Amino acid sequence: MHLTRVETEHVTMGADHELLEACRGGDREAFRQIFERHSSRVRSVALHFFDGDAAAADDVVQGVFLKLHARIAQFRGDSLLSTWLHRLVVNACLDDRRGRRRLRPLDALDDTTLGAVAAGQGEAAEAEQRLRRVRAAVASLPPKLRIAVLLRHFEDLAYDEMAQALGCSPGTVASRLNRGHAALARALSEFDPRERVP
Amino acid sequence: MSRHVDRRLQHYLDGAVPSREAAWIAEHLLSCERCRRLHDDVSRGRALLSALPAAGSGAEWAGIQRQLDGAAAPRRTRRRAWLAAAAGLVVGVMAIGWALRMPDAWIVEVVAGRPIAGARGLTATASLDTGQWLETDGDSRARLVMRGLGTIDVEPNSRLRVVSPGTLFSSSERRLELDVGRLHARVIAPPRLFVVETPSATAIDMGCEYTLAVDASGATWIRVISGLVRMDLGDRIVDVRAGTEFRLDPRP
Repeated sequence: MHLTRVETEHVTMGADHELLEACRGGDREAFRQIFERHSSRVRSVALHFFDGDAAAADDVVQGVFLKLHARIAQFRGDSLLSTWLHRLVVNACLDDRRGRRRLRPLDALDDTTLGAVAAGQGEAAEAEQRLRRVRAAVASLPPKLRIAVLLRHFEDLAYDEMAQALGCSPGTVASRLNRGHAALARALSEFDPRERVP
Repeated sequence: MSRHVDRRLQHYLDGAVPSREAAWIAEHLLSCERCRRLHDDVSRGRALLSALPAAGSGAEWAGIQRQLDGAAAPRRTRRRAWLAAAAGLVVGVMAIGWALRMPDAWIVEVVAGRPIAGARGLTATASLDTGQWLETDGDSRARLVMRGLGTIDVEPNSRLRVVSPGTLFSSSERRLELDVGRLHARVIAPPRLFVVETPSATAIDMGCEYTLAVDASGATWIRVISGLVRMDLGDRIVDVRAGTEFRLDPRP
């Protein structure tokens, strides 16, 4: 049996509300279940927002869930927990990039190195190269476009949900997605063999 | 047919517009080069994102638990304080406090060349006391050894000092400061016992083997070979796991 998106939301909402109630009573296990349920998507957005920096993603995930725990009593329950979480993720990503020293992974390769790797190792290296180039192109987007594109890709949110998370109108969401996606296509034109119409 | 379709493009590509509107947009795209170009770019951009994998689960829950435990600490702290007081009384009665206050010693072994410990060039094994610097030039190497803790290989062109040697028979931390250069640590002591300060962070051993380096600007590199090193960056803690390598910019 397949659930529609609305039905899935109701199921998720119900389960989250039960867990939230338990969390308000100090149930650490319930909070862990909320973490298990949502942390992977939070981490995906943060990881690619910070160009594959796992330490930065760890920071964001920890920060988001600690903030969630601290404010859990304030959650009124008239919206999805995930909507609230998305807002926290957006704020954490946009805040975290400002002026903090970063512990950076040293495996980031530049284009020259990537070329040599790809030439030497065939398909696996090509896939790896593609991943790195896409990740780098995403990381080079302005932060507001980047977070919109990543939320859309990993969370599959409706436009009004994205608008709530990003604190803007649905029209602005559409505009940011258009600009973000088009910028990616231009930055990664070598991956698309089709010729552009003049 | 003059109205452009920018605002509905994402919905159109999602297949989320009514069929009449979809037909209208499709017709518009045939006649409007601007919108067609945007449509092509946006659909390519969306497709390219499929190369980005979802992240696997991290180890953040442990960190969250630690922080939550820390936030709920006052009662435990009081309990610990009582326990500590009782333990201190027992220790006093046993009258072996003098032994517990004796500093443990770092022993310097010369591996190559003539490292300098304190102000003197070494040719043989010597001890390195609190506050003393150990320096290696381009030709010299040294090994620091402490009983029950492990070995620290000090590479050429390095400078480090003993901040705190710890005390005999106790679990107080052994703290070094790496000012510049490179060291390789193999630690067998329990977690948190061996600590290295650098100009940009503090590396807290959690039971592991790692290489730590500091350049002239104060930037720090760390590569963890096994186990885990906890990096205290001042404003936050980051765990660096085996098989990973990181660089940290100097403090501003």
